[in-house]
Amino acid sequence: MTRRAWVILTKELVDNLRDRKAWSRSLVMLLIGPLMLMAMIRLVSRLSAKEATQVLELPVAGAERAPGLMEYLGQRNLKVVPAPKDPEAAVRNFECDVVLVILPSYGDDFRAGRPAPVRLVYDDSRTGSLPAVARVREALAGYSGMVGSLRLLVRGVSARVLNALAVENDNLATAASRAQFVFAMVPMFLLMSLFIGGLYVAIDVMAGERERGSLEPLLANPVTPAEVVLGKLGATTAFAAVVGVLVAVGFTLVLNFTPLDVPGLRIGLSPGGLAALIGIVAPVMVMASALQMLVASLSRTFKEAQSTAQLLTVLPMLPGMLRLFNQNKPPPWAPFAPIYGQNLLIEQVLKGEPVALATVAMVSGATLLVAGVLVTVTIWRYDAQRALFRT
Amino acid sequence: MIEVQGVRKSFGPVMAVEDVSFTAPNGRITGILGPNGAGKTTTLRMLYGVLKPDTGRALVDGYDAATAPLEARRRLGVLPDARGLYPRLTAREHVRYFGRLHGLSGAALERNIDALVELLDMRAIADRRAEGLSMGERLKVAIARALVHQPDNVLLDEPTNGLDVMSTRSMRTVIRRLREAGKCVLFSSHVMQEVAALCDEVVVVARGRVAARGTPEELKRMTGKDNLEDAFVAAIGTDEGVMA
Repeated sequence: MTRRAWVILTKELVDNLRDRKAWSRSLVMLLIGPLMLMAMIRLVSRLSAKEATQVLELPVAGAERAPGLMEYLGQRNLKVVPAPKDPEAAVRNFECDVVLVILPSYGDDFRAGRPAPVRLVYDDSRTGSLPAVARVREALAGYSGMVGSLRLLVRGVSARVLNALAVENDNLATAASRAQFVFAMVPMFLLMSLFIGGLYVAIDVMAGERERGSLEPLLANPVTPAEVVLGKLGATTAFAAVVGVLVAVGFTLVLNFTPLDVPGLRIGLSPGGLAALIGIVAPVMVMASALQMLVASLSRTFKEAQSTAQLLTVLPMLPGMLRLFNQNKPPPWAPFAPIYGQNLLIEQVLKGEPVALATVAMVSGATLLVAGVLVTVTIWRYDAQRALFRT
Repeated sequence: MIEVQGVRKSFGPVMAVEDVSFTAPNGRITGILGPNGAGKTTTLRMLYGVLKPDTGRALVDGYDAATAPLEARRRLGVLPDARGLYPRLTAREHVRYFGRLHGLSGAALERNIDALVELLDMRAIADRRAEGLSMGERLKVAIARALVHQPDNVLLDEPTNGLDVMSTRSMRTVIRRLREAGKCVLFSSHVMQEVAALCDEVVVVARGRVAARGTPEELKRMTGKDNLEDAFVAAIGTDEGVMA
């Protein structure tokens, strides 16, 4: 029993390893995940650098007209630098996020106690520049309020009557919540890679075998449906496992070597964390392969199998989407649901939180149970008469 | 030895095999002759157990292919109607794969493979991938993998279909050698010449039933014709679908 399943497994491995098309597709997937993560880490690091505690360079045109304002900006950690000749063009060409223009009548208006005109040049469709714009605006409002209060005070009126509200800002966005995307992206891509790694193998060994007309000769050998299905499942799972492990290693490298420049936060994966990650997703490798094999065995042709099985790669995205649209805590059954449970566990590992072995065991058991049911149905479908002649 | 005892098989409303019985003994070449759609392939499929008869039994060395398919298949070498190869595997790897599935390994397996490469004159293609092989070369690979475990019973479904003259001749040589080795050879064909040239025993099948059975000589006598072609036509009842 095991011997013949093993013979089938090794044959399918050799056969599919020679299929360069299948490999190149998996490899593309392998690169996309970690590279996207790297790009997003860079972006977040840039956003967080614009926080108030950090010095932000602000190009100002006509700075000499407003020495008081310039001094105030300096106190707010905004370093005034000379503005480019054409502020609009500079913003449009991504040379700066925001430019402050002090208009010529500023001095006269300011001295006369009229609102002194300044212009802020920016593009609010560029999300990345918004934190910088917000800081400059805040500083301008602060200066405006301060000078206004002083003018009232000179006239013997307390500026406090102007403030009907005393607003305190308590923004709970922390470095950790800014890094939330890492916790959403890594589990999704890792789980998806398990569905993509074995996709073409599952289709080839099930639908391809029938379409080539090699299934009937194979079944004329002394093999049982269980041996055939388990051998092919083994080969499919092996491919899913290799791709999954490589993607996990890729994420680990990115997290360790692309510094996430967010104060007070350090996301990294130790070799132990990597091992935990692989252990957590291992049952999903089997389940994903079993699901794809069943789908492929139900399809009449290679093409039909391909389009149906590709739809399945949406499954690992579901938990992430559910949480995106419904930002509440995950439902109580989530930790034990295949894919959803692993998604949560991977997040815990990334956050460096302790993982309860009992939870891992439960969700692994549930996942393997689903895999077992899928394999049983596939074996039943693979009874020679049904597999060959669809009676 | 192969025994088919009153098998019947229908697919929904279509009656593929109505009532077929015959025996193919060891050391003899038995041919199933019949027009297309007569039920030849369905009968063979019941022998290697990928189809189960509705009634009747198909036995290989006494093992019922429906209830003991693994035992039956162990004693069978099969060239099925569908004989697809794996494009990315070499000829030798195909033969080795099936040898392993039959439990062979190591030096014994390699000896069998080498012997088949010689027998089927496959030296030039043995280490080439199947995707580049011609129709005749593919057939050789399919035969070699069916014989790698040296089965006592050999089933060949239309073994010369689509072959050129030279390949057909070497195919006949192989079938005769199997008989000399004492094997039970059962092959199906819709080509009368083929059957006449090779068979010790002929089973004429038409519309899912055995229309006649015997040596070519007996068939002539039974039908009262002195010419084999006429005998076949008389047995089948029509000349439709049989190639002379």
